Amino acid sequence: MKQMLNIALPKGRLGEKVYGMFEQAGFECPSIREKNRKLVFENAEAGVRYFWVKPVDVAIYVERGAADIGVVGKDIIMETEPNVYELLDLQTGKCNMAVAAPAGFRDSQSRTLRVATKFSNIARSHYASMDRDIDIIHLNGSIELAPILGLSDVIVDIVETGNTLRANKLEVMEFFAPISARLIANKASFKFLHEEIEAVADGLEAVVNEKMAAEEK
Amino acid sequence: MAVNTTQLKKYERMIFDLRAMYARYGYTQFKIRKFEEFELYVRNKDFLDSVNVITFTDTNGKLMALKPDVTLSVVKNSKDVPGTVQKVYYNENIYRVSHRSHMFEELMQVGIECIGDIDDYNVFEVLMLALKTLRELSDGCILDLSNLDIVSAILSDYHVTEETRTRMIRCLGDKNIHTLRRICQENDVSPGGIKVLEELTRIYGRPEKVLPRLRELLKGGAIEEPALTCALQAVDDLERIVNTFTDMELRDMIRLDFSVVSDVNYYNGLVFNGFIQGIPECVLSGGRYDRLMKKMHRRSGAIGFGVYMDRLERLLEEKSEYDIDVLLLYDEDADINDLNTAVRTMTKAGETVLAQRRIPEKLTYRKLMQLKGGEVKPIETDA
Repeated sequence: MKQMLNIALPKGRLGEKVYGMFEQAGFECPSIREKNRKLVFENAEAGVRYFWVKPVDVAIYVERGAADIGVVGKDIIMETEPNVYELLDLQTGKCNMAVAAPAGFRDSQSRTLRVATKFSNIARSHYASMDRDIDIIHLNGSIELAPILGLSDVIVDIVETGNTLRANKLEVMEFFAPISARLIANKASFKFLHEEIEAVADGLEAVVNEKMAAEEK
Repeated sequence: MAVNTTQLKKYERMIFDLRAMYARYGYTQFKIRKFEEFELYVRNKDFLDSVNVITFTDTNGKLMALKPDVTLSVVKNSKDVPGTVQKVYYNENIYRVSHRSHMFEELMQVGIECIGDIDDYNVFEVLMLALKTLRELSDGCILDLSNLDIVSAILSDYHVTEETRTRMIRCLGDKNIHTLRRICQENDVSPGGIKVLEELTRIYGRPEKVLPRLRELLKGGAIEEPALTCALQAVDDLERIVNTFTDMELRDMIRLDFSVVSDVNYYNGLVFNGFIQGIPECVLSGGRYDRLMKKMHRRSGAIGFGVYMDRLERLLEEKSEYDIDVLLLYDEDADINDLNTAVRTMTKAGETVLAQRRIPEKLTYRKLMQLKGGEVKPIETDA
């Protein structure tokens, strides 16, 4: 009997886009397109079982082996550093990790920089690489509000179009890490389901290359 | 007194079995106290990944630490005696910060170390014991094997900074080809050189499939001398060791994977990780660590491995229907001798007995008995 590959997809727009890539690569599961509250979808013939999980939890499902492979944003990988293989950049869900501040902000090296972010680890390691003392203010949302209200000097956050920043009179000081969706694999699953995982990774790589080639034209 | 092994849990039996296996190959138990001087770990913090250890000040004012690792203690206690090899096994608790909970945990580690004038037989024996250890644990198991000298030789040809080299090795370990490619491009590595690293990250499988592909890749013209000769020599070394495994059952468990990248400042040559089906992370890891020996001012070489017993907890878990065979109830007036006789009769019959005056909460038992007027009578039986 063919062994099923458990695949964790991030709920939401990115997940649906990514599922389309799996479908294109030959790992379709039509029931996933049905509108219902189910979370697990299976296509025994294609040997795949998909489940929707909160985007931030995908890496945990994969690291702990509940899912063999999954798709997660590079931001989550950088923040949580899961012990997984990062097999492929899916070149979708593209954005940038950036430092932003109120327009005209002048950074003074003479004092500790107050940084508001929901990516504490990323911010910490970014400033550590510059030997800069910072005071991390961990927030869970509406990060842009922090410098406006004087809670922080700058923010570290994901920037896609920059519209939210502009609307709040903030501007990007520095882009420091490109973010996109990545295919990750559990390390033990990679050994025991090697052929199956390689087939999915190869299929997705072909889809990515096709898309990139079309964009270049 | 003979040990009644029937009462041992599967987990405990496994530890005894592994210890017995290592002892059969001449490994003697290495037993040390629970703590070491903190300085030992500060000097070798990279070997441990972190210097997060539980410390305390001893009565003589020295800063001590609860052991986060056994290998450093084994090396510290080793002596350079030319022509000899010291073989030890250990079964110790270590204290480390969990990468998941970020809190200190007490972890059980079992492992072996082989220190001295290491020859091919010693390397073979340690690898063979690693394979046998995995097979003891489960039928579905795989040992990923790499030779760090191959990776080191290739990277030496690229003339990159230490920091870039570390980033490249990290990508190799994560099988992160796309970032590796970007780092190579940023550092003017030739397209041929990039292809070699990409393939090295990608190839995985049985030695007979991987080795010819690897040789072909290295001889493709992208790697220059003297790195090429070093890399090919390392491939030959790897092949020689793999070919010593004529027992097909063990050989069948070996896969070559160059993403096994232990710290190249401490390890050299063979490195390996063991996986068993049903456990999401590696359960055994080891390798040759001559560089650590050198850092600790030893002239000899060393190879060994450790088994992370904590990761096996769920695999070796036993589900018992009952906490106890017999719950024997007695009242306050019961004669102690009668009670003692009743308990002994049952334990001699091989049953586990708990004598209590009341039924404890949440206890599950197979039989409920009562001692009344010197006689034992069943109250209820749930068989």
